[in-house]
Amino acid sequence: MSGWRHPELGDVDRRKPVWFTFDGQPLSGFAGDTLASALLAGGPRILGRSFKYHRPRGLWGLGGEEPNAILDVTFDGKTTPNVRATTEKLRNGMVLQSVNAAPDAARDRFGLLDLAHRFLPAGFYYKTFMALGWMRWEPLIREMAGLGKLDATHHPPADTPVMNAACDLLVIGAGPAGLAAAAAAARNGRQVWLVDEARAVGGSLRWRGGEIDGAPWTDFAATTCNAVKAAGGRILTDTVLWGAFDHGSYAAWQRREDQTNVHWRIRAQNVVLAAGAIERPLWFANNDLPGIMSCEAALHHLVLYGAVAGRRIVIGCAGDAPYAVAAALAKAGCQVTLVDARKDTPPAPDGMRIIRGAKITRAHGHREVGAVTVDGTHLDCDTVLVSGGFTPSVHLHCQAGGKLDLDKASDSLIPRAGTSPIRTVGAANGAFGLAAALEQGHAAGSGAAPAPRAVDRGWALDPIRPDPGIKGRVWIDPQNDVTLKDVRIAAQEGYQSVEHLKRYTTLGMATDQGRNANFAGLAAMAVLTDRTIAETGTTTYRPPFTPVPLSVIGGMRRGEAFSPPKRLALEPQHRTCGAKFREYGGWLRPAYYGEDEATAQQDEARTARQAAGLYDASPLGKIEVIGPGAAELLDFCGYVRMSTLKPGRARYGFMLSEAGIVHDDGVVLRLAEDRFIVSASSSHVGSVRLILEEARQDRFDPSRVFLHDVTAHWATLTVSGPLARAILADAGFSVPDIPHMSVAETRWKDIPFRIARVSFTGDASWELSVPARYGGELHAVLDAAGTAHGARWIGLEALMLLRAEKGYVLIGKDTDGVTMPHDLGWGGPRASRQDEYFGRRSLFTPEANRNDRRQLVGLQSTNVPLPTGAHILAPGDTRRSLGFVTSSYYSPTLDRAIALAMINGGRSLVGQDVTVFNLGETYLARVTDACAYDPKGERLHG
Amino acid sequence: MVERDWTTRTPEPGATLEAEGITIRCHRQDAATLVSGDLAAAIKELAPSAQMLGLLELLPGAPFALRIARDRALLCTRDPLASEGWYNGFAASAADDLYLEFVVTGQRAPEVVASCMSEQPGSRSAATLFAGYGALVARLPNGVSVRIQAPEAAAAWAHLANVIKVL
Repeated sequence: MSGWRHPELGDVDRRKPVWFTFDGQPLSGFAGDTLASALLAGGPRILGRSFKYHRPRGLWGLGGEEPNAILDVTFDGKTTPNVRATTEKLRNGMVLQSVNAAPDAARDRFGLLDLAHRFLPAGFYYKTFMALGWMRWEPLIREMAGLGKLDATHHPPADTPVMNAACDLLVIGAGPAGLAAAAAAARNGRQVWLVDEARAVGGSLRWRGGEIDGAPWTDFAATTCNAVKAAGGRILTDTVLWGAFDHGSYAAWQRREDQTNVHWRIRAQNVVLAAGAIERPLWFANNDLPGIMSCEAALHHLVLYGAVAGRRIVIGCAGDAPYAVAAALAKAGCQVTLVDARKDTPPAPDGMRIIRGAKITRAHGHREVGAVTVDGTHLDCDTVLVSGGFTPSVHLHCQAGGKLDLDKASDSLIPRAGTSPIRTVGAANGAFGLAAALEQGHAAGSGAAPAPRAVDRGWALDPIRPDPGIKGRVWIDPQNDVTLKDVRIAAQEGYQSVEHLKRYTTLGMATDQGRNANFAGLAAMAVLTDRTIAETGTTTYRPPFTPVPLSVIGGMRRGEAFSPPKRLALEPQHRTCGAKFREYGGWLRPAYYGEDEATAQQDEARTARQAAGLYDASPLGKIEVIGPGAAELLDFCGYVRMSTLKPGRARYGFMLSEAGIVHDDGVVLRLAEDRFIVSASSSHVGSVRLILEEARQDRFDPSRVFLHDVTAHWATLTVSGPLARAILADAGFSVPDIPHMSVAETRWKDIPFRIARVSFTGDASWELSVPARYGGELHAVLDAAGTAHGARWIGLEALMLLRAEKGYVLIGKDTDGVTMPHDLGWGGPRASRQDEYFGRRSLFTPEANRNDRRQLVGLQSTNVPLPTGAHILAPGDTRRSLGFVTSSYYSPTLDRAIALAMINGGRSLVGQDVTVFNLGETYLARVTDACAYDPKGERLHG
Repeated sequence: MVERDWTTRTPEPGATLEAEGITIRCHRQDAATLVSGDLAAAIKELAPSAQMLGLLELLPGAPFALRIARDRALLCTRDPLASEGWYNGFAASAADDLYLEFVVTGQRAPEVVASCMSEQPGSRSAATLFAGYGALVARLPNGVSVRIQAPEAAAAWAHLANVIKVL
């Protein structure tokens, strides 16, 4: 431990100590600390281990770019993995655990891997782990690599609300440039949203300080915030703007004190990106040792938290920015030596030594830095602060499609104007001085008055690059253990594109997403391949800018809210009758009534055949097709012609896909010459309506036919069975004497009442529909009348059994993605219709004409139901599947097992025996017609 | 297969959710008709005094029409309209029970609205996604009216109950 707490500096509350542990070691900080500042001030240096070599790692940065101080944090009994110490507030009782280390960061036994580093360069795993098979190695590698551990008991609550917002101007970053933009825009009356990931506005002003318009910067910040609020805007701190999406849509993650997170979706007319810049490291041998930090981060921790990085500090740089850092550290009592690669430098701040025209070539130390070599000279130290320049945070500009150009003055890639809808200003645009940042921000906010003024001379710098000639191990990406040598290997092996470099070496693929490494990596590749940086290019920037908890994005849509089914209007009534529910086709429907499913299914099916079954058919689609063009539309969209249907009649048909595959089946009811109801399957209502709608708009005159999905308006109860007619009579319904496959509209107690004689069971059935608000009354009347006749409510499980007895298909269960209507025995329209209809042409392809297509048949076997999905084999054949069982039940009516199957050339096999195979078991079955019960359909007519 | 225990329920008309500054009440529509086609002709024929409303426009008393698409609207009336089917230039279908109405009121009602839908100023269609569900949204003097299709009302109601706990 070389860091220490300054007695006075920092905005922490020294009256409120906060106790925590790190890797079991009790430590303390103060209220207002982050995990990083508390560890820097009083904790061990080694905070983690690198991903591959398990080298010791210490604190590097100040914000979301932190690559090393990644910790598992246990608080209030719950553990959150992979928390960045720099962005997490310290709380009393926190238990911090290093990651990727066993047993802990200080004593990690896998640190021995570093001794074998010569055999473990980038990409080594592509050439190894082949002997004995990959799965021998995979569990071991998984144990050794990776970051934090998941706490299986920690289920983050699904409590993050989404908040939608819109604004005139979204300013991302509340540093000097962002504040200037917000101030100018707010004074112009624009509604500004100012967003910053820090806990307070100010950006780098918070630790660098400065005067604006001759007064402390805090005055300017306060005035700006007031102006923003007065103009109807909003200021969000502790909020990361992490994603830029299409059409001016942006996503932000807000953390709130003692409240839930918030997931913001902000739609902005205009956007100013003032996200600042991230300091680059320097590249010398062993530049990854604990105790080597970003210069800017050291100042940040000193000023905001009073956490001093060390006592004997060497600062390596090639620019002006670290001079203020050096001065502050010297004033705080540190012994500081500045090593500036430039020969022509500003004067050395008071109280420190400066070495000009020199570079750090090597850091020394085993577990933390203890010395450096500066151009051959040995310097003892306990801390090294480095500044290799700054990389503008341009991610959001690039996410929005923007391009970058290399700016020689700032030696950085900055946004190319006009290539994204975002205007970038300040350090994010390569303007590193305070005056330039204020000026750019002010201009972006369309400030008419003069820009706020600051006195600074700007930051001069000389470009510094990784030197391929340097001896020793030089880290480019500390988080993923990518060295300069790895970049050379990638270039040698032909992976010279930055996209290949990234994937081959994993450079930039860690949680810091390359913020500390990408520029160096592409600069090194440029040198190695004799290209410019512009020619080498950059990788693609994608959201999120910083890791965002999935619980924030997922929000409240978990558990029941994840994919809730639709609900029946009569659900309470069914529950009162003892229904057990299950999801069918996106609806929650009664599966059976009673306690035991198997028993209930059999009893319900038996009762339905012997007396009557009552069931809720409300989810079946009711798409009204209305207008003089209705019949023409249905003829085109359907496989079975409906224009010849007379009003008052119903017809069963199919809807095909363009490929001729059966998409849905159902009954079409004709209420009038210009009015039909398409009764789509409950799961297909939406898609059927879309197919109809597309044809309506694209092929026909849309003013002559319209579609209304009124499924939810109606409650439909079906009475089916030999006693159905009697039940209806006793219930007091005046039921018109209509034949099977008919429909009538009438009234019941002056309530609109529709009766359709259609059957899904094969027994005489009446579907009764009333507006849903009267469904309860209908249910009560039928319940009473049905019970009196020994009928019972039946669930979907019994219903599926009943229809299977009749060979009625369920689309998606007895059909699949290749089933055509003639496979189901419905070849008539294919043969007879000459007019054009949707999917017609696909019905005559060579594939469609094959004789051995899978066809719907029945199977009769022993009294044990065949497993659904079991394969059909020819007798004596053990390898080639001829098809499979699609539906299988024990029929209480027939007192035997029944099944439906799709078998190659099935209809030609009727009467023959086949073998049925499933998971090592075989059964014998005979192929039959699909209909096992009442093949003549006599029961339909009651 | 284990049945999932769906604890949410479709709210009954009159059911209420409350939190500080927020009240959400479930209502059943009086009567409604889906009309498509020549909407002006439809209104003239079926409810001549009805005003056509877009997103978040102020609801007058019935009758009024909530525009859904260029050629579709939900005509809301006090009593059911007797006629369905094809007229000259437009189609009509009974839709009294197609939607349930959630009325959100209170000084924090705007936060509920912000949580459930994005701003689409000036949209001529009252149809939008509200809490992820298709809805027709209009403004009231002290809040908003949200019509959600009845089968999805349980899920939307449960979502609102969770939202008002954390806002």
